[in-house]
Amino acid sequence: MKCNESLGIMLDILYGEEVEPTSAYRFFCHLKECCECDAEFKELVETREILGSWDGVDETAGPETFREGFFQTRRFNWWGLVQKAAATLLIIIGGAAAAQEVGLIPERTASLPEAELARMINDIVVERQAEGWMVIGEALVTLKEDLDAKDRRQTEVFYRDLDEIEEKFLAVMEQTRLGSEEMTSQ
Amino acid sequence: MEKTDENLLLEAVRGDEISFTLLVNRWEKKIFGFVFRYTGNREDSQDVVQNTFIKAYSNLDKLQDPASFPAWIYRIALNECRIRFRKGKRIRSIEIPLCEGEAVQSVNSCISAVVTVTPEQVVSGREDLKRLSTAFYRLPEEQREVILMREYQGLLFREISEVLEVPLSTVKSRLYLGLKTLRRLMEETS
Repeated sequence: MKCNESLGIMLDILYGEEVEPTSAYRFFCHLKECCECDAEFKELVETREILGSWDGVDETAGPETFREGFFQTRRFNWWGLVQKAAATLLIIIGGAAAAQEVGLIPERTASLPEAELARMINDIVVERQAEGWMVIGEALVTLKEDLDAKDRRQTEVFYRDLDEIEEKFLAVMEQTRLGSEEMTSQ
Repeated sequence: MEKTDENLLLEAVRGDEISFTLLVNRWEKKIFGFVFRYTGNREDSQDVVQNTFIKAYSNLDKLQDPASFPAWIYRIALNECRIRFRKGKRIRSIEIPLCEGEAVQSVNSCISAVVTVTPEQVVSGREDLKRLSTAFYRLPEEQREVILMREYQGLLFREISEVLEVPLSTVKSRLYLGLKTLRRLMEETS
């Protein structure tokens, strides 16, 4: 590769544009042989590095302000609408509460007769009590069954242990008796 | 599924403003980045970006091939930048952000905030940036534009040639000369 050919593809290689692999190979071979082209390429790489250090334009700051201009008027702002609706609702509730406080709006009263209301409450209480008793009863039955089962298991173990002790005791007594008889005969 | 630029454009041409707004949302940061580096001034950039999209919106029917929207929108932005730049609103100071999330400051007041280890590096970094920005804005317009589009916008040579409506070889020669000139100008100021 000659110097002018090298210069022809130097920028393509520098910026990673499409280059034939053989051309790229010949280019780098040429750099090994030609100090001038090598220096030229290194200088361009360095210049790119310097340009690369000027990085990070804060692109967000501009468009934000930009949004507030021309396109803001054209965009349907859902969030803004929700905020406005919430604010309106709060104002209405606050206003109604204030009006009620000063007596402009009468307070809501119960339209049910007192006896009817008492009966309803009683029904609810009784119903709840019945439910409660049922739950307690079921729990007691379960508990009793558990305790009985436990007792039965414990009693069985106890009697089994007693039987074993009795057997051992009888065995010892028999040995003692046999021992005594033997000593007496002697 | 996200709509393509082409789909949004077709809908926008039919009068759907929401589609155009989506398109703006998609492109405004890129265009702002380009314009900001071109003008070096935030307020000017905001105006230019706004004018760019207003012009784009009012000329949507003239865009014959929706696939060429990127080149088209860059071309409008570039023309707006040129108009702004030639009106005499030259760059006095260049805003350079120093690290992510940090407020953008002017070069003259950013020494202490440069993210470096030693004081020497702080001064060196600041001086490099200052020399770079000074040299960059002293470049001939046509060279600066090509560097901007290739280096900071990541446009391919083919795309730049489409935006500028010049042959590919012209793009390359402008870029090469731009890089060489930039280097020379930086060395002169050091």
